[in-house]
Amino acid sequence: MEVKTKTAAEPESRLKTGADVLIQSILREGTDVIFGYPGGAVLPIYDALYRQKVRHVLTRHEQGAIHAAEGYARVSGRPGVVIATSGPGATNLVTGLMDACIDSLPLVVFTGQVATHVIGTDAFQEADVIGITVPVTKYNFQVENAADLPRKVREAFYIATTGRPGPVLVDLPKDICAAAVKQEQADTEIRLPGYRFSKEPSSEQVEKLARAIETAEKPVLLAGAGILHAKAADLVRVFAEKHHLPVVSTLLGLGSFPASHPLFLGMGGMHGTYAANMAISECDLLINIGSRFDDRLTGNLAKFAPNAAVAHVDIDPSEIGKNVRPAIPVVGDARSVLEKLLQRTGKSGEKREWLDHLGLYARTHPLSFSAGKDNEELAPQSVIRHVFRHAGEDAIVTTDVGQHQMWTAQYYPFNRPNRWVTSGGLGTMGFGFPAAIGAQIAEPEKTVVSIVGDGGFQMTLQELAVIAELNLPVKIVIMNNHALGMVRQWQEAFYSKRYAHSIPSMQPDFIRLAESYGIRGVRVATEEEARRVFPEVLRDPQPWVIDCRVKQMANVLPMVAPGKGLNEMIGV
Amino acid sequence: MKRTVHALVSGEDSALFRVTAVFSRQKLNIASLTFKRSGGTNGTSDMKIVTDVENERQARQLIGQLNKLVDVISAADISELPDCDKEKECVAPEINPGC
Repeated sequence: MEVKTKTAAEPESRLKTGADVLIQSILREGTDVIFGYPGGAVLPIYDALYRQKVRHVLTRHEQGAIHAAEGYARVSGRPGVVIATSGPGATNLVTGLMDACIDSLPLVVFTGQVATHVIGTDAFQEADVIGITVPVTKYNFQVENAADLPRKVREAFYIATTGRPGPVLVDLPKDICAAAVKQEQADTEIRLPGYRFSKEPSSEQVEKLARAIETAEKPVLLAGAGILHAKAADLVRVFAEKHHLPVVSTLLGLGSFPASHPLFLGMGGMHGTYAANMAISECDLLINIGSRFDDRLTGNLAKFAPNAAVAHVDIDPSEIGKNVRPAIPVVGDARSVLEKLLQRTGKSGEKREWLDHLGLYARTHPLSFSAGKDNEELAPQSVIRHVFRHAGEDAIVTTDVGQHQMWTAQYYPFNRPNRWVTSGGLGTMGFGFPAAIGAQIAEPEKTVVSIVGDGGFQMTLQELAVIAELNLPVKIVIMNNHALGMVRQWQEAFYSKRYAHSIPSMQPDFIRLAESYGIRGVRVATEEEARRVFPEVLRDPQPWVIDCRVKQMANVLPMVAPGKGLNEMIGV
Repeated sequence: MKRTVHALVSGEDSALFRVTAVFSRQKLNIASLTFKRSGGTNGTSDMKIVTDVENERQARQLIGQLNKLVDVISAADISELPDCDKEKECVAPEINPGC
């Protein structure tokens, strides 16, 4: 006999549930995909998803969902949307929230919560998610009334995507989502009296900056990710060419200025180019647009840009003077500032002597490596060159953190904006592969290559199920040195080669692992194999795992050792 | 150096926690803290916090971080105000008739 049980998930009335209103509100913001993972506290939300047929990507871990949302946000400029359940579902998001917070990526994250009447009782799968995520979000809040959902969702998207972008977390008690809601005119009026940001810079500060540029003899433009967030890459190029400004990029700013442009000196910082770091060290005017002067960029602050007047353009006023005190602070959006600067008719002289001087540094101290002979062990830097040669300028490249990340930043010439997806500030292992999933979903026609280390890949490789399930043609290039490369490199350099737990005794057979998900895999161990394999697999419309066996003891050079100034590079 | 900070915050319950979290993140001790609901329909609250900072730069950083909070409507360093005016920032006039 069939017994029908009436449950909260099957309301008799035609009233909508809070979850229905939630999904409608999310869709109203233009959301085309949600990354998530179901669980008890979000069952009403998933029931609404089932009814409303929204595109939902089921990752195999909540961390995978949030990194995928980050990848989606980074390449599309649109907010990534995530749903996870209460307790462990929510706490599994913490790394991704912090990663998005420090790298200024717009995310709107919805977490389930136990029902309102049991909050604070240590109920099953209860966690104080608001308390836990205050330091790792731009803003977070719990919804206390289902009728508030349209407004609260609108506010969440507004905060995430305006000013300095960042992650916003919305905690949803189960009873709020299950509650019946009368279909009334939705209240979506934003009421945030304390939230403000200023896109338009002060004309006076822009004028000061313009005059400084016109009179500087040795200026340098430092291009940060703020340029990409402001969609201002086109203007930076025009501005740099107009004033003959040599350009140094931060790690996250790569692609905001074409790498092949004659004014480009490369990435600055710990593993930057000699020319870029010397330009910062010797310049008389440093124009930072959209970078937060991270310690990996500046090296020893006391020795940073010692001869320069510093101009700092940032949309976040709290960044101004946090690490480096600027002579010319400009609070505003990079695009608005550049538009104002370009409206001025003044033009700078060519500064040929300064450009020639920096050009000499670039020619005499280029990035270099030995590719080795055809049958010799593969140089990791060579893998990056092969990927670039066959994936092309329009490809999107994602990485984790560590040696493979630095080699990619050094040797992959990013000529276009929003093709580079990496974990910058937080340095998150396991970021690159799920981020590639989000990037591929945002840009289905583009080639997406995820360059990862063998260590980081093992942190989120369960997401292979997603690319198999959705047949996403992501190409996973494992820089397999059978080591936690950057840890090993630092142990070699600063701990007398005591390789404590950085060279694991075993690792899986990545090819068979890929095959177990129905994904093809290939191993590349020599130059000759790399030349043969990369053109074939990077053009194939299927996902691939390419296990590149690279030199274990290769080091990322040149380097600014901790505590040293940018002009004290080793390995140049 | 002793600094007195005033913040006008929205009525969200978590505002107190968010504000004090900025101090703890910067390793700043709170010597005293007053939190008072303004009682108006807009549900704002006044906070007055006395702390010790190392230098002016840290004080500026603190105010910048507080103003960045979504729940903070305004934050200011009121250390240079006369004591009487400092109290006005946080105490209702009727119970502070001397000012």
